[in-house]
Amino acid sequence: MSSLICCQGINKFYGSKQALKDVTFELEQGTTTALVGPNGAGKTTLFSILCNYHLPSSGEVTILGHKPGSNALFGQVGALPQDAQLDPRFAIKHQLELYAKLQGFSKKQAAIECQRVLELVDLSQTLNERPGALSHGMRKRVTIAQALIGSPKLVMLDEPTAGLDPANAKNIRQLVMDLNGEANFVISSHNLDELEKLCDTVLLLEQGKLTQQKVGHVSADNTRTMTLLLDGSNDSAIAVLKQLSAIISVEPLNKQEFILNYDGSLNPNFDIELLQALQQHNLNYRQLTKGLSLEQQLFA
Amino acid sequence: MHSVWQICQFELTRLFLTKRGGILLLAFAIIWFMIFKYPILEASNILSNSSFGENVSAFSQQLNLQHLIEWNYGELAIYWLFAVFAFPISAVLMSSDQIASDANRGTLRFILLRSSRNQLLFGRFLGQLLILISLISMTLLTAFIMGITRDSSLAVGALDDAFFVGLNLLVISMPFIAVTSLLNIVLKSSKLSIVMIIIVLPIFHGLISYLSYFHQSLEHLLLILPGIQLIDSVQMPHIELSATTMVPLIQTVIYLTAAQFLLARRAL
Repeated sequence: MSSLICCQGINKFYGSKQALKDVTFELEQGTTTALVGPNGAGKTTLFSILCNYHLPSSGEVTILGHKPGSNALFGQVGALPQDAQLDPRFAIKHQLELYAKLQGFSKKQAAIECQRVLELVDLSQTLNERPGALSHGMRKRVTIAQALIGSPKLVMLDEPTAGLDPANAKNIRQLVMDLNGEANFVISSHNLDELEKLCDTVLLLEQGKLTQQKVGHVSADNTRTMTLLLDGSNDSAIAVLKQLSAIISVEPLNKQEFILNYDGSLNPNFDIELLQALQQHNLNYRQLTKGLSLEQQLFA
Repeated sequence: MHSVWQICQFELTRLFLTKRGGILLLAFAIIWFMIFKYPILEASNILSNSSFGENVSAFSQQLNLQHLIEWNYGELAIYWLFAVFAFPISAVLMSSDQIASDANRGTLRFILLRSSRNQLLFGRFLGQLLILISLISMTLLTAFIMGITRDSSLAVGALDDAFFVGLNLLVISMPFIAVTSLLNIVLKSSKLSIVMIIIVLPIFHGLISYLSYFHQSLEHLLLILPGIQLIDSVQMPHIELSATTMVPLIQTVIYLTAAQFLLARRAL
């Protein structure tokens, strides 16, 4: 599989402050990648370097085999930069058509493409509106639409659902899922539940350093782990769980949530036995997940 | 070139289809209406007045406008006198926001996913040149028509003069657009760019002139200031492309090269 993004020893200094410290990673095509980390960890700086908005102080970056900003990448890379706004003086149609024409579309094709991408974010009716006439959430969706012009191979979204209401955030997640396979996504977000649903690779940045690169959040080790969330607390729950045949340990995260470690070779149908035990002891459950949640994997 | 042309075309719509552009055009139109209605309409009378050159010289000792009297086409001569100062200022005002507000808003980030920084810089510069060409053409044509109305026999002979007047106005204004491009990148503000050019550059001019009394070699620094040759241009005995024309062209190349260098390194 060919390389999607390759970063080798990226350092970025802002004056004396080092925002990125020797960041090295490689992403293959066909992946959806989450970029996570606390505020100020360097996520947006890394995004900006990948998009050629900032230059690295040192290190090498290639995207689809080309340096960021290369002519060969125009139309191949789409991005939603954090806080970037469309020009309030021009209608959305006017601006998106310019972007499409810069990507090589003819005037007629550009108009069709703009209609298509706006339909993807359910905003085709705003074609002739100016950005100022739209709500914050709608403006965000329009900027996501611009990232999809020309069906780029790589789409980088910085906080795509921040500021969106739950319904629209769900629509954006659904859009990413639908386009998975057609495009490779790199998504930066603080919403780990969202990333868990969308991404199969995780880059964790902490204080400018890439501390983890997880490929597939259900790893071989995690196939022997389940996370159980009960509907309400029950003091007898731990005792019930410990009686299961293949159980190795029960780790309570709080009164309702437990991590169950078990030996899969002793009982391949552990999940069925677990559900039966819960039913017998009138323990209602809210969620049962194979493996650890992304939050547990990254921050436990 | 495709991207440069697309960005260039968009600059035209920025002036002709936006409120800010409309206000600038309206102000431009009012000022030029006044110039056409009074001095240019009365051009032949003004120039036939034997004391015209002396009066202007009394007003400013640096200006020697005696040769303007020799122009056959009075309307064109008076047009040139006003336009040589008006168009550089118009160029600064109209091109003051080539990059600054788009960079501050983040709009440039959308464009830079689809074009290089050089394409952006030169596309916007060329767009401003196109705007200037259209404004020069419209005003020049008006002055020309006013002359024809007075004496149609002069029209054919004045065609060359009109062409060179237009060309000189364009060349004279180019470094002002280029320096605005540069200042947009350095100052990150369109208003500050205007202030720098209209207020600070004349102060630099005065300062360098003053210091050159003590060290004459410093006088060469004046050549870096846009518009330094304007007085020489308006005093040209014949309207043509002369050695004076080279100064703004070289300035334009220097400013654009500096802008290109800085934009390539600036975080956007």
